[in-house]
Amino acid sequence: MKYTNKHNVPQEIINAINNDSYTKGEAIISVTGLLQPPRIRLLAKEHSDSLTVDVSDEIWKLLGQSVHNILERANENNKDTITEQRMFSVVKDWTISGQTDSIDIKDNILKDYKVTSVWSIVSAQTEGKAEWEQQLNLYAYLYRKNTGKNIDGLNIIAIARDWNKNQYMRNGGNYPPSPISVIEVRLWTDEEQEEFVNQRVSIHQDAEIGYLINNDLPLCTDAERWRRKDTYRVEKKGRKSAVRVLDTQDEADEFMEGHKDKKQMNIVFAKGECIRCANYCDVAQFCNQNKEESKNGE
Amino acid sequence: MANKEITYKEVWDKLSKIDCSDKVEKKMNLSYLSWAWGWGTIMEHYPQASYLFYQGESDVPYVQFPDGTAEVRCRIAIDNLSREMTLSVMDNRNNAIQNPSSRQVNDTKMRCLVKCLAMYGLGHYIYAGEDVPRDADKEEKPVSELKNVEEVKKESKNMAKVSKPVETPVENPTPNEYGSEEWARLFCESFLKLAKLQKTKEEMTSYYKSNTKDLTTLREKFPKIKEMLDGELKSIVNSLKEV
Repeated sequence: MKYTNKHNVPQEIINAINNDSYTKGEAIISVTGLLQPPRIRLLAKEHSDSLTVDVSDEIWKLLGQSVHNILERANENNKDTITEQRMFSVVKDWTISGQTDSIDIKDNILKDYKVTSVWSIVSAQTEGKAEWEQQLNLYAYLYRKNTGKNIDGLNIIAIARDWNKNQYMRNGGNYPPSPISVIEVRLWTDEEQEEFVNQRVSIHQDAEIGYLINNDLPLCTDAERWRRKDTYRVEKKGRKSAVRVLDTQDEADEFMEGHKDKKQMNIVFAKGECIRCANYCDVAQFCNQNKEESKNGE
Repeated sequence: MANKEITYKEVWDKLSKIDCSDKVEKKMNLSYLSWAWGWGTIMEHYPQASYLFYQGESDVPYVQFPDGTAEVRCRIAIDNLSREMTLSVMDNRNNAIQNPSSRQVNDTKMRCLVKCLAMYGLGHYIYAGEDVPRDADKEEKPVSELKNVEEVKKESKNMAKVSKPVETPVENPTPNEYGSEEWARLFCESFLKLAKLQKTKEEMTSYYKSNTKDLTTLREKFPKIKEMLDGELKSIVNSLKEV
């Protein structure tokens, strides 16, 4: 990985970013890797030397690490808590590993700390967040395989990096009342965990073999690409923003039909953008799926 | 803390010294060691041992060759140790049988199990054509003198034709630790040799998949060698396109 420094981030911060001690241990794949789309994982592996990231984009990761380190240090001698425990298991001949942030021995709850946005927290609390649920259940699976014991509960301890008291006072509603939120995550049955881990390992194994032998990578799904839904924009002559943005052509037609200015209006179809590909995928520049779809105007 | 892991040497030293002369039965011109006694002996020393017979895609416990003959495959694991063995389904004149019956396959499975036990040392001296176990103090015979090496090599070669797992190399039965550098070298050699016999990408995919366990061991212990192996394999795959 190569870093650029477009925003003159001070050298001490760059040193800290370079000092990331993360390792997946003696394993073929980590929980994080398992949850990644195989296309991203394999392209990142292949292009690891030429990947370029700006240091400013790594700041939140650094903040996340610092929270983990401080918590680990603070709980070193706490007998009721196990922190930063790396666990291993063999699934379909692959050694997988995962590191839990914290396990509360007394209440038998596995916890993972996330430094994230208020928006993510609200979204997780209202709609649930599949990635978090999958991640924590994989840790629970590893814990069971390593200790023979089941976990009783899963919690995300979410720290909102952009929480603002004024916003809370103004918005109320779903806005978290504090910069730290405890989100309960659904604990799967042992069978659900087994099925999921086997499925993820198979997906990655097949992808690796397919890439090696057929030079073919599985396509990322819309969900993996964080694709926004397609929309129909009702636009009016002389106005920059859309009058209404609707989900279907029928809705847009109906809206326009009943509008007094319908003669000055037209409907523009807007293909849903893939947020991850456009803004958050480190390997988008090497990805033929992304290139192909960009070429087709998606 | 986990207990100390057992080693191939430790198992070999223990099992190869066991005298099984009075357990050998003679039928026609062949010597047989009772599987029940063999397995019982393993259980006495390593009760955690387990065995597995290859299960074919068509649910038959053997691999069938284009000429209709068949071989069974067995793997015995003792903790982290693993040994594999193959055996053709044969008549009493050592000729491979075409379309074997369930009885013939079943008999061969148990013989294969006994043969696999010899890879850990139990009754190995019988396969080596000796009457009694070697004395630990005596010098070990060189590898090339073992009678079954060529046979095993031949079997390994045949396996390529059906895109099935490469056997753990047995050229040097002085216990080469599974996962050692020497093992890695031998595995790569035989893996690539057999890869060259695959005719289509589908065959290659199936061949690669069937070796997942050993390829994973290679990747975990020698990632650079694994990368080189994948590079070589890509060249072989590219040549498939030209065919």
